Amino acid sequence: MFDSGAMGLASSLGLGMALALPHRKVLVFDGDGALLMNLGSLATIAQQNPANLVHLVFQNGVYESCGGGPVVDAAKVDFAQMARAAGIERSYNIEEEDDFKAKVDEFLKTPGLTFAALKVSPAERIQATAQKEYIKNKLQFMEFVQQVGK
Amino acid sequence: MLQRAGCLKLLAEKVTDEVVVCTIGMLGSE
Repeated sequence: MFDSGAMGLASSLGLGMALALPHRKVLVFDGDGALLMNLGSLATIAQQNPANLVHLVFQNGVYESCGGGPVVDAAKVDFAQMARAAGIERSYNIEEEDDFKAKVDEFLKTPGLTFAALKVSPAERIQATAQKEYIKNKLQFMEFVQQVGK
Repeated sequence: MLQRAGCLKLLAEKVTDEVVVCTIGMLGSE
């Protein structure tokens, strides 16, 4: 699902999908700036505790989807600690490729709510990716949910 | 430091059609 135009809501939408589609594993790809816009979602996700949700946050220090402006103090933010404090016990900060490789199977195969902040470099070429076809995007999303819900 | 494209590639290699992906709008180049 492509959620441009609703920055910060990927985690909330992912939570809804995880609750509605318990037979599916749901991966959320979030951004650090986006999560900081909707930090309360961590508490809501922890309270709902869906065993099929994996929330991955790309911590690159910039608002990449809208042009590359800096996220304030992003490098200092300990997202795993925040997630853990919200009640998501399986929370990680990952900086090294080998550590990520070691966790991928757990993310995809082990049941249980999972959060991980992945410290990544910003893209070399930052290009805002504004989605203008919101209605089309919504209809495609509805069709997709109907398909995966079967 | 990780590379986002590398993370996505590794996940894509292992992901199955049982998995639903929900993303913000920042992955267009990858």
